[in-house]
Amino acid sequence: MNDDFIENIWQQFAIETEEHLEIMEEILVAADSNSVDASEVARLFRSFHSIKGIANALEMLGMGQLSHSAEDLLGLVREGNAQLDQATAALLLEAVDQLKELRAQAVAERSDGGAPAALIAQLKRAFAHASGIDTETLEASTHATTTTPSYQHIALHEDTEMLKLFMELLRENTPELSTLLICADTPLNADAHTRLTKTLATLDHAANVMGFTRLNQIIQALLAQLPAAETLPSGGHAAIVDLLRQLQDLLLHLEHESGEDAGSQGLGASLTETLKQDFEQLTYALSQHLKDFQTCETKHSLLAEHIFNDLNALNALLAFLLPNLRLELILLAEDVYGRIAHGDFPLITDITVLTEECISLIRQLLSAREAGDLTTQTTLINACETLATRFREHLWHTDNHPDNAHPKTSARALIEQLNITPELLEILSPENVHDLVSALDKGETIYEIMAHLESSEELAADFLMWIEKNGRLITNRSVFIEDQSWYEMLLVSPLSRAQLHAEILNIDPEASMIQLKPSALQPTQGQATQATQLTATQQDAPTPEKPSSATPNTTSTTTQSIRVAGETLDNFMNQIGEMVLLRAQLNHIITNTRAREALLNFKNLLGEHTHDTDYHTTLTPIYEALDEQHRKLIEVDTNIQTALAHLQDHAMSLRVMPVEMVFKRFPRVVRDLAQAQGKQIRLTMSGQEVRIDKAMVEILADPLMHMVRNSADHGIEMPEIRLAAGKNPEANITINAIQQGSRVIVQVIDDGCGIDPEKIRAKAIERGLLKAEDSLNLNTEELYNFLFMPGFSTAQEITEISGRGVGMDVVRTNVMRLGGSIHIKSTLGKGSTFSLEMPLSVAVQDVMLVNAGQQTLALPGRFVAEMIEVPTNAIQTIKGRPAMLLRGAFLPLAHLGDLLGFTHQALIGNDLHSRSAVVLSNGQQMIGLVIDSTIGRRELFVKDIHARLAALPGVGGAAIMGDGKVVLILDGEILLKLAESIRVES
Amino acid sequence: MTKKIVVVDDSYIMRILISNIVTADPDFEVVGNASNGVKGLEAIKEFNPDLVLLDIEMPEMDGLECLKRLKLISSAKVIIISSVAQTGSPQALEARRLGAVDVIAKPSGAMSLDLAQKKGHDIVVAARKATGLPPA
Repeated sequence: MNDDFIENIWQQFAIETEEHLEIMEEILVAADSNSVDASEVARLFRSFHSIKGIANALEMLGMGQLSHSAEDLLGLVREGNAQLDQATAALLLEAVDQLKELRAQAVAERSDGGAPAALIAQLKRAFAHASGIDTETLEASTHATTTTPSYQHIALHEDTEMLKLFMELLRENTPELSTLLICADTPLNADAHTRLTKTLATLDHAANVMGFTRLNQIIQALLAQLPAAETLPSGGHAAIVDLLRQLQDLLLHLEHESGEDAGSQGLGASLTETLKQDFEQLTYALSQHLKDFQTCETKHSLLAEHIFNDLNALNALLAFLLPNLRLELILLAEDVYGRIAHGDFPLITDITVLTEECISLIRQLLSAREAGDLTTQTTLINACETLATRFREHLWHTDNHPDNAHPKTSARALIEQLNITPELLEILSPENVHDLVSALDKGETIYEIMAHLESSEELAADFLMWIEKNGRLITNRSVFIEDQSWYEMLLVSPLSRAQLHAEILNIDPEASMIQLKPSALQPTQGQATQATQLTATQQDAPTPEKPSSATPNTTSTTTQSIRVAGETLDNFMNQIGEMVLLRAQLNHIITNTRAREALLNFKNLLGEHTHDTDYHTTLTPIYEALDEQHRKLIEVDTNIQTALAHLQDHAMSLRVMPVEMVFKRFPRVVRDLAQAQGKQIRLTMSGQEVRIDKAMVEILADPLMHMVRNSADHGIEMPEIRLAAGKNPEANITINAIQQGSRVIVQVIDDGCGIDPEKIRAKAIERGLLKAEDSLNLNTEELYNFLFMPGFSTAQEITEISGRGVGMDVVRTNVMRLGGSIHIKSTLGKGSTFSLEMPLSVAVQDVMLVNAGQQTLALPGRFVAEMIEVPTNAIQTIKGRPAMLLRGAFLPLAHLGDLLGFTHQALIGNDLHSRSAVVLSNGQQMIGLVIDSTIGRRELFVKDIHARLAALPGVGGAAIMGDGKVVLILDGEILLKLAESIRVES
Repeated sequence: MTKKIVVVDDSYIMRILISNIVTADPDFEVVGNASNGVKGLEAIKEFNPDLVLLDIEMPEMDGLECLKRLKLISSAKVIIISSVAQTGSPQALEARRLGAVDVIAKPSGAMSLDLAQKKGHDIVVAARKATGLPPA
């Protein structure tokens, strides 16, 4: 591992641990007053956990052990076995403080500060207390393990959570499977094929992991159907549709089992669409066959075979298109044609008419179902049953015809064709089979009924009587559905389905205990049990939960970001500054008038020597080349300037960060203060999202901290005093950040005692800062200004926190240095507002460049009100100061050079020319600064300047100009103050 | 063919340390990184790695959930690297049940140059075993 790597690791160590410590502090401070929700506890836990991991990795074992103990304690909270109460929060905050110290040592010296044994012991005691383990056992074991739910080994497909995820995966991927229906007829292009294969492979993998072998088989069969793009499935349309129907079945089953959506509905809809088309094709073919059958004199058996096959296919289609509706009609028709094909059924003239009628009924039924028209559906179903009876009559006649010696050898086969629940079919005795067949022959119908009789004896008795009355019980078995015992019965009855249903309602009005399954005469198996069970339990089926996507914690939402050390960013900014500077130099060279003049002279010379052809032909190309180069240079320079401006803009945006970075320290500070002094303070913050320059964040932090401390310490009264004053004992401190254009305003508002201007007055007089008689001329605002005087404090007693007088003066100095200002508003007894107004960025300043006494100086742009012309004769002396009349008001004048003390120019009567002046204003005061000339407005990169230079009166900063010259940026406020002292020398 | 690895850990330090440890073995290549389970799944979908080195305690989506989800979509082998999952702990057993091939504690003292004697060695050994490489 090289040094760079290790360097980087340590740098990241500092960054990551600091982040975690900040999170911890924020949460723990909040925990002190409010209950903390589970996601925050988890976050807190993770932060301790992360610090442990990072610290151990770097062998900072003290930090590791301490975080480990804290993590153990929090583990109990996270599992709900302990409370994050005030005491716990305080203890953990102590751990945070210790971690901070250890971290500081680790960062500074890369050495392990050791584990704070006392605190760890305290944490362990708290852990033992909370978990009910006695301390001695605990001390014996070095590692306290958090209680976790005991481990159970469950197969993956039985793991409800795993199943949920699997269903989620199905839900995502099932829609793609509808493509399969397209590819059943149209070859897929390579893209679509890849997508489909990928989806199938995904499902295959997941089904395999879960151990769903049946699903695996279907998916693999589907994959095998589509070996390559641009090919049709090997088994054709039918194979795909069949597999998809099986898949759909399986999905339904899974949905039923898990209560989660697997997307079977969408697949079902696609399948329905396809199958409806198939239905049209099939019925068309069937009609043709029927026509042939009717008109053709021979080949009846072959055509009957065709029709039989058509009907068979139709029946399979209907099992899907009309689920839960078992139509005996088609089966019966199928049976008729089957027998005709085998030559053991007489030809009946109207059989084709009956079949046509049958198809027509089914078509109507399909459209009624699609329209959701229940009345029509019921009518149609009844019509189907009537038609079925007619088919049945034909069959009965044939079977009982004396000439027809067809033995009933296939009785069982016939019954097996019916769609009786397999389990029931299994237990049918030969006698049962006989009973069923003869019942069918009598025109009776077979029904399956589910009955839950355990709950009510009365119902059970009624039910048995009811069976006696309405039919015969052939067989039954008991099944358990959701822990309830049900009887599944096979019943024959002369009643129609609708009649039987009405009868059931007579004894069980809600049909909750006794349920009539759709009639049993239906050949496709598999779906039967499934579908009927579905109807049986539909009401109880749990509503599918919404997919559990990981819900990100809103408070900890992290935006995609990379971390860069602040120093790197500063270097980057400096480099850009250098680039800007170099570009300016380049521009200076290119646009230098000398170069331009030289070219112009060259051109003129050429013009003068037109007669000298030799001379001309030699030099013209040279001139043209030079001229072109020069133009190109100018063009490139312009492009560079544009690109640099963009770069600068982007780089500037790198420097901004939310003011939250400053604010987040306050909750802890206010909490600590309030606790130390026994005050109750509620802190509200807003505008944390306002973004300010990174340098600003660092600079704002101290003044703001001062203001917040001042408010909490001086502003807020003790609860009993507040009560006595009729206030809520809980005081409020509000910190707001507001962005106004390129300025940010931060307010610290408290509802405390306010500032008493009289106290300030008295103090100022006592300290000799003010004469008693003068003090009467000062308004409240002016009196507040004394608060910013060094060493001025009105606090009765000096506390550790504030009130030592060094503070507000420092605050104001810092703020002003950055081009900001600070204002106080206060109402005695009601509270105070400190407003801090600052520019958003300190790196770039808008300035007015002027020349004064051989010097180029920069005046801060926001102080510059206007430029004026000062005619010499307009200058007069007012109150001993030079001034001029500007729009009816006197404007004091001063020469900028004089003001700064490097020139001595008498403004009056010294010069005959009129001169320029910059009107400087801070909104209250105004002054005209006489200068020699103006250069213009610029945006300059402010550079740090030496403290000595910064201490010069009026100097606010420095910047480097395009030509490499250093220019001083002046401080507007101080210039205004300096101007007050200027007097005309008498 | 080098084996492709995705490292999922919420700590940047851990990610670079673990990457550094495994890539010390020329048979491994770290193709992707992620700071939580959600991003981990994205990286796994994108890079289709042979091996995933997965932390348990992470924000947004923890390692066990990530493990469940990734098992359904990927055939990558998974090694859990977490101090939570000490061998025999419920989490370790759970991770094994969900198909993790190994559970290892976080590297300690990974800064040391003497990698072979430290936890880093365990990770390389487990990673080779998981991806079917012969012991180095």
